[in-house]
Amino acid sequence: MFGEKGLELVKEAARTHHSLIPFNEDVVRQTLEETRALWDANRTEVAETSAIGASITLRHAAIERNKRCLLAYLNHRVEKLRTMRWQFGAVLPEEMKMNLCEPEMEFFNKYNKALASYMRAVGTDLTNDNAPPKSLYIEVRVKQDHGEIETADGEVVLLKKGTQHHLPRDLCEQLVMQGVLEHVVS
Amino acid sequence: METFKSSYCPNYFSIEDILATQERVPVEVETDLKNLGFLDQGADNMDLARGTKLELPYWCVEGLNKSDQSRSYLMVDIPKTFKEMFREIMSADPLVVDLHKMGPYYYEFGRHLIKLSQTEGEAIGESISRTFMSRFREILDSSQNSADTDSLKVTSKMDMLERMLYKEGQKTKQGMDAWLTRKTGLISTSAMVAMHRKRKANFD
Repeated sequence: MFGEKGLELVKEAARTHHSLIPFNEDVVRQTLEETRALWDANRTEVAETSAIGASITLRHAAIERNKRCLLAYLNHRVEKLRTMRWQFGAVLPEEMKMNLCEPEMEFFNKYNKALASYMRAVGTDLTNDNAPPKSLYIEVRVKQDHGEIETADGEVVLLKKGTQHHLPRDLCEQLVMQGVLEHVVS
Repeated sequence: METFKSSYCPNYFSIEDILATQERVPVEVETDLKNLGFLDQGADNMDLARGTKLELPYWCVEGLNKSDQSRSYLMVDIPKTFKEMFREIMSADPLVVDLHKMGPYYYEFGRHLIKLSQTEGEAIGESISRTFMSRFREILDSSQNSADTDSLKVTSKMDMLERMLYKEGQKTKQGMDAWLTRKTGLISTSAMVAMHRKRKANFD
């Protein structure tokens, strides 16, 4: 039956909501090959009979279907990448990068650049303060070693696993989102 | 509201819609179809003879029907879960029916079927909207009252659209609770990051 490989991709996309699994190059290639074969079959049949019959119509429907599946798969991944920029920050973890294919990497970098230049133009960091802040300082617990950070007034804080700090909110919001710190209610 | 971003039917990229259009529709072949014997897996003729009955995915049927208005290749029937008998069951008590079993995308598929059948389309449309209306109350009710209990028992009978609404309802409830207990200022780890960390923990 036609269109099965494409469906496999879509099912894979439906399964993975919160993570990005490796780009399924193999099945994508198979889908493309199937589509190309269908296209060639249609071309030869049209050349032979010069009429559009049922089999051509069906093959054409399968081509459109494959196209839709492929594009939906790619679109799903690009959407994921976009959310990842907001959740992980500008730099992706190494293990995540390995799951991307070359053009996706390029997309991510370009998206990064576009976002950065926009934020420069408007003069604010849009990724900060997603929700209206309630207080300037928050209490955080360090969940993994992160080295030193410097606050706006020049104080250097060592983020060592297990320690707890009272820090300016805007400084650590990103780190909390990235899972380095944990916001605790005092 | 992230789940609603990829809404259903007119959205070309909608994963849900692609899966819904994969559902099978019973059809009867109206004219001999050349070189399409492979569609009927039981027989191994080259051509598909007139009068053969088989089941095709919805997108195949739609593709074969729409291209040429002057002649139709297929006589389209309705899947039995949308036939009158099942519609009567639906109207008797919509709450007990296992919609997930009847096709995980029951409503979406039903909406596509309306376009397909002139005679029964209207009845299908009425049936699914009535079913949805009476089930929605239950979904709303249970999603507002089981914020952190195991919801598998409740959701197992729901179709995918209903599950989405249920999840959204739970989220609203949680948001309301957070507001009432003054916890809205709390920053938490992003969903994807948390997932990533869980995965990584398995390697260590």
